[in-house]
Amino acid sequence: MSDQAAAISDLNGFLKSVEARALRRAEFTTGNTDDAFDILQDAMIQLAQKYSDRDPAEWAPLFARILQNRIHDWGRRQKLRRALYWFSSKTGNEEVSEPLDSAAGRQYLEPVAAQQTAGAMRQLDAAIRRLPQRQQQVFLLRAWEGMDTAATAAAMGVSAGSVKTHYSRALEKLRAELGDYWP
Amino acid sequence: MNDDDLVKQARELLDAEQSARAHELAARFAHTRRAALDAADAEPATERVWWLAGAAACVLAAVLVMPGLQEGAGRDKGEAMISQQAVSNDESAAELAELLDSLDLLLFFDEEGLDSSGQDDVLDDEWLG
Repeated sequence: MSDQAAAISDLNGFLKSVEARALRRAEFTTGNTDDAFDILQDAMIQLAQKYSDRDPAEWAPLFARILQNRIHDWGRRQKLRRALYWFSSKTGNEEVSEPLDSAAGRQYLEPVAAQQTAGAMRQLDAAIRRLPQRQQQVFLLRAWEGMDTAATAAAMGVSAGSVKTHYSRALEKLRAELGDYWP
Repeated sequence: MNDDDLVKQARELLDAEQSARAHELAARFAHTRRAALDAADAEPATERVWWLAGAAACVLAAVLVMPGLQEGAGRDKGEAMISQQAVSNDESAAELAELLDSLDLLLFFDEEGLDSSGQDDVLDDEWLG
């Protein structure tokens, strides 16, 4: 096997190991699976094209950062789009439905509905979505992906102090929202 | 519920949900991964193509432009030589004019009867009686 083929094989293994959680992180922000897959694919392509020759040990933090940037970019575009919708509705144009409210955006919840924990998962999903984007991503990186404060700070491009603050506020909000539903 | 319990339960739920969806999304994940790896694989080849195209363009430009430049340089050189020749000609003409002026002066003296040969004859006649 040539060096390049080996590198691609390694990269394939790496991408396979991170894709599920990366998709879920993007889904929490975008609210729908298709946009999340677009973000995931962009991030994977960026990593593969620009950093595939790097030490594989660097791939995880690089991918986390690239994904975070893509999610952030998506959020910015949505803000702009919402501003344009607002402007068009103010000027009497046809109202446009909020994309996050679309039924397609909730498709991924269907398999979960079959499980006994569906109710708790729905509450968790909704509570995480209601978090501000930074708190949301900090919570997912710290609590779900198991990153420490320094790695989370590096992935998000913020200070360690900022990570601690966002994480603490995220936990506080989640606790307040989920308290009634979670024993 | 304390923070640790909250985090633990959230992680368990998210993991369980992820596992449940793994089969459902397997094909899309594979497609997404393949697109990324193909892009990585295609990148060096694309770069090579661009390098080759760039090199070919340089060679072509050299082939097309260099003769023109050489011709231009030769033309300039020729013009410079002609110009120099013209200056030289001008100088020669000036020298010639000066020479002609001198000759005119001599002729003027000749016309006034100061021709040395004539004078010699007169003097000879006078002196010799």
